[in-house]
Amino acid sequence: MTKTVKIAIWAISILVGLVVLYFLFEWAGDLLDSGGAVGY
Amino acid sequence: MQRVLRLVGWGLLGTAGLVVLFLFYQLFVTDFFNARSQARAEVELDTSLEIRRAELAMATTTTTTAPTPEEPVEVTRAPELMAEPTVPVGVPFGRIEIDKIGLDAVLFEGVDRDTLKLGPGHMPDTPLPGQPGNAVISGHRTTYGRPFFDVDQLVVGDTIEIETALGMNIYAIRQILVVAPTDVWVTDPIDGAWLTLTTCNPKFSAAERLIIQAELVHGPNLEYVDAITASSPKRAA
Repeated sequence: MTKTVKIAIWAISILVGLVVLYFLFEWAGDLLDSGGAVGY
Repeated sequence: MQRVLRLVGWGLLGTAGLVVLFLFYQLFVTDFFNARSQARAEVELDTSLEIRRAELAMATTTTTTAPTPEEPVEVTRAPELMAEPTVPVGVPFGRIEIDKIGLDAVLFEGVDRDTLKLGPGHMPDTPLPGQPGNAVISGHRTTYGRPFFDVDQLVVGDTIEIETALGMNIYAIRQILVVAPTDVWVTDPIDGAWLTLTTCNPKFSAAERLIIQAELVHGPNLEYVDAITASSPKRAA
C-alpha cells in the first residue's frame, strides 16, 4: 500500500467519523433539548 | 483479568471523550451553525418583509368616495384590526430585540426542533406578534446561538420589541414564571395582546420552562386591542 493510499484511507475514515458524530450528536441533542418550547 | 480491566478502562475513557465532544458540540459548534442561519435569514427577512408589506398594502387598499362639499359628514370610525397573514413554517418573518440583554435575532415561524435551531420561533397555533391574543415565541437558552440565555435578567416593566411586516410592536413585561415543560396553559389565549416567551430553565438544563409574559404597549393594533379589551367583560390577569 502506497503512502498516498494510506493517507486517503485515513482522511476518508476521519470524514466518515465526523459525519457519524454529527448525526449522533444532533440526535442526542434533540432528545435532551426541545429548544425551550412548551408541550414538546 | 488484566486484559478485561484494560478494555473496560479504554471503554470508559472513550465514553468520557465522546461526552466531552458532545458538550463541546452542543455549547460551541451549534452556535456556529446558528450564526450562519441568522446571517442567511437577515438577507431573507428583508425580501420577506418587503413582499409581505406589499401584500398587506394591496389587501388594505379600498375604494373611498369623497363626501360632496354641500354635505359635510363627520364620521367617528372604530379602530380596525390590521391583520397579518400567517407565515409558512421555517420562514423568517420578523425580528425580536431586547436591548437590556443585547438580544437582536431574526424570528422564524414554528417551534419544531429544526426551526428553533435557526433562531427564536413563533408557535404556529397562536396569533402573530402584534395581533390580539397570546403570541408565543420559544428559543434556545444555552445552545444554537443561545438567544434567550440572559432572559432571567429581565424584570417586570422591561420592554421587548418585535418588528413584523405591520411595523414595530413594543411589549412591557408583566409577569415572569417558572413552569413544567408540559404546562401548555401558558400558551392559552389571553384578552388583549400579549407576548409569551418560553425557554429552558435553569441554564444548561431542560427540567423547567422560564415564561415571560408581556403586554402590548405600542403597535399598529394597540388602539384596536384597547377598544376590544375595554368592551370585553373578561380582563387579562
